[in-house]
Amino acid sequence: MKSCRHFLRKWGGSMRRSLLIARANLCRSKGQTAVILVLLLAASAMLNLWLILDMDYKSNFDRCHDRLNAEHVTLLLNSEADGLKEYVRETIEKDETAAEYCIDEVLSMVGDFPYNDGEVNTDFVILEKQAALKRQIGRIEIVEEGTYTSGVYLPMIYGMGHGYSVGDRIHMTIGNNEVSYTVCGFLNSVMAGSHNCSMSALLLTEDLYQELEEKGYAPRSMLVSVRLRDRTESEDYEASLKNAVSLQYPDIRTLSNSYTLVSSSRYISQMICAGIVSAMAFLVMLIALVVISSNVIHYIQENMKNLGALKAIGYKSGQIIQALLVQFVGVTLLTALAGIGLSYALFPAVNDMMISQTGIPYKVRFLFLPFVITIATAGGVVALAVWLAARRIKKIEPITALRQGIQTHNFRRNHVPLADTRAPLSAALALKTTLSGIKQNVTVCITMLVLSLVVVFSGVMVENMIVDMEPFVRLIVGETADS
Amino acid sequence: MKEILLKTDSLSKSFSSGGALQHVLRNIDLTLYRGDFTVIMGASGAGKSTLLYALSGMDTPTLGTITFEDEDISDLSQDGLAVFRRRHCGFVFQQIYLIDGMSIMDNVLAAGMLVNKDKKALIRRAEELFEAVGISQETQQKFPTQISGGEAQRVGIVRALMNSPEILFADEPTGALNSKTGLNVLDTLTRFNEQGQSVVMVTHDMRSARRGNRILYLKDGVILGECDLGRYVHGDRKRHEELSAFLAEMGW
Repeated sequence: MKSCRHFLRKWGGSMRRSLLIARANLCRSKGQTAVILVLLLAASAMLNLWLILDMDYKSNFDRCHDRLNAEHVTLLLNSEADGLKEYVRETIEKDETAAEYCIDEVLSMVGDFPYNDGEVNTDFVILEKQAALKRQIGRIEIVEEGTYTSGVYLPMIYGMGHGYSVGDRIHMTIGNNEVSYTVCGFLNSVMAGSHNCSMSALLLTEDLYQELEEKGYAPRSMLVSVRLRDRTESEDYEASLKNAVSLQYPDIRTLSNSYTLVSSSRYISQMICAGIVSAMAFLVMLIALVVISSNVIHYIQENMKNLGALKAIGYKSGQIIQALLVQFVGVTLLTALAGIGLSYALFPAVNDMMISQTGIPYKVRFLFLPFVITIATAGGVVALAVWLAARRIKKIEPITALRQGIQTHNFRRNHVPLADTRAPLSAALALKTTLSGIKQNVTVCITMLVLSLVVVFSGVMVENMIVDMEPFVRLIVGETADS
Repeated sequence: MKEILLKTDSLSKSFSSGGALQHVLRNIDLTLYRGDFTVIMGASGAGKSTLLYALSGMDTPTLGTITFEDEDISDLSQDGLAVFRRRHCGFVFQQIYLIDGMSIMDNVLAAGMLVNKDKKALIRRAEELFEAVGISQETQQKFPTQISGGEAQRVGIVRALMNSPEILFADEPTGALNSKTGLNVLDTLTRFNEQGQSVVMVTHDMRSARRGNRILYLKDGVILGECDLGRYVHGDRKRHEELSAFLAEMGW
């Protein structure tokens, strides 16, 4: 207890000294501190954003999958051939990979409808609303609906941004036939909620479902939903089930997807965005680190005499470095907190953009792990950069530092002696300055090299993400999963 | 019998210049006593400041030893020397070297906090010293760029004395000040010495040197001669006459 109190007292004294020096440094360089603040704010905001996207957004798919007891393998069979249902049952039941399954009667047909200045062309899986909501496996949930009693429910992805709204009329082509429905609402289906799933679920109210069935625009089909004991086997199981059916019923058109395929294809945009955000976060952090390192090096050069004075009165190199660490890490931690706050302020907008790509609802909430990682990463890398840049303080002897400018006993090489050179005076002086500070000049060159790289890369990113995002969006929307 | 505070044995310091060695201090054997006001004099380049910095642990000798109160400090690491300086030495520089970003009070506390953790006691000590050197409370809150050179040097003395050092080292403390302000600073140093503070001062100014009770004359890195002025009180004409004679003898 006594030693603990002694340690705390010693630590408190050490921190007080460091804070005293750190505060003085901050007061001297307000402009540079402001630049560092802005960079760290942006870097930590993007870092936290990336961590949320990477750590929680993908698992949101699994949470949604579990909540709706969604299937791991979906098989759509465009037929009600004799014995098909029994054959599928037998095939599933004799394989222990499957934990549970259900087979539902649906309508299915290739179709399209206008969406976002283009059109969505996909395989429609058309279910009767009430039946779909009661499914034990692969349950579909309504995320938005109006008061309309007759119409269609679309996957929620088509209601985002400039998509459809409740009450709109949607003109669809089902097979070769035109139909027109009122949009009653939007649905969430994990395995068939987007064109990226290789099939898109549509819910029709009972009257319209019967009407479509009677017209025969979309043939009766079987929707087989299988939950597996081990979801990592979904791709293999999908292939084997599909194979088994195709061998027995070679003329039947089959369409399928698996957990592995859908979970990655629905999140391809999220993964790309997370990748871009992480790249930006690391680049901005890199710039911040370069600026901080330059700032520390500049501080040492500019304050050589002050450092000498501190050492002369008894400060150890470690204590001076500690003061710099307290200064920069303190600023970084406070800024990282603000950056995390900023990321949560920006997240609703990012979330809307993400949902419009994934089609799966995501509720923004505070996440502790990304918070800790962001704080630790920002603080850690800044501490490392400061320590690396400040190590040279250990080499500074107080006497040398105090005599900077006098240099009575510093016998440096006289580059380009004016007595011997034939170069013009200005050129000779320029050469003298360059050669005498060759190490600093190399540092500046490396810094400028990194900065140039970062600036060009950031410029390209900004162009593609903010100025003209169309090619990027098209790239993602155009990416559909294999069936 | 005077108490030995610091002793050197064959102290040498050399610097290399393009492969050739320049010997700045040569085999100096010197003893400093507690309570003395020792003045090191000599022409420019004689090695005065180098000797001062070697004695104070700011610089390490090339050869020889320095013993402070029976402890050999010549082999201490940089950190070890830093601890030695903070515990036993105070420094007053010609250029003062106060930290620009800190207030006058903070400049002084930054030194005190190295040794004492009791902030209230430190502030009390600082205020006593500020009062002793005539620095007002208003000035204590100012920044180094807002005060005059004389005030800054007196703050430098306060900073040097914060940790009650055994020896106060002063390197040309009046070199950057006008005569009136310089006199004030010398009075301050003399007063603290009269209260028992050991002082080692480097100067090439005879008026400053008169404040010492022991004058060492350095030439080409060797102590050429020594003069004892301790027999005379401050202000005594004989003090001046004896110093003049000594310096003339040394070729000043």
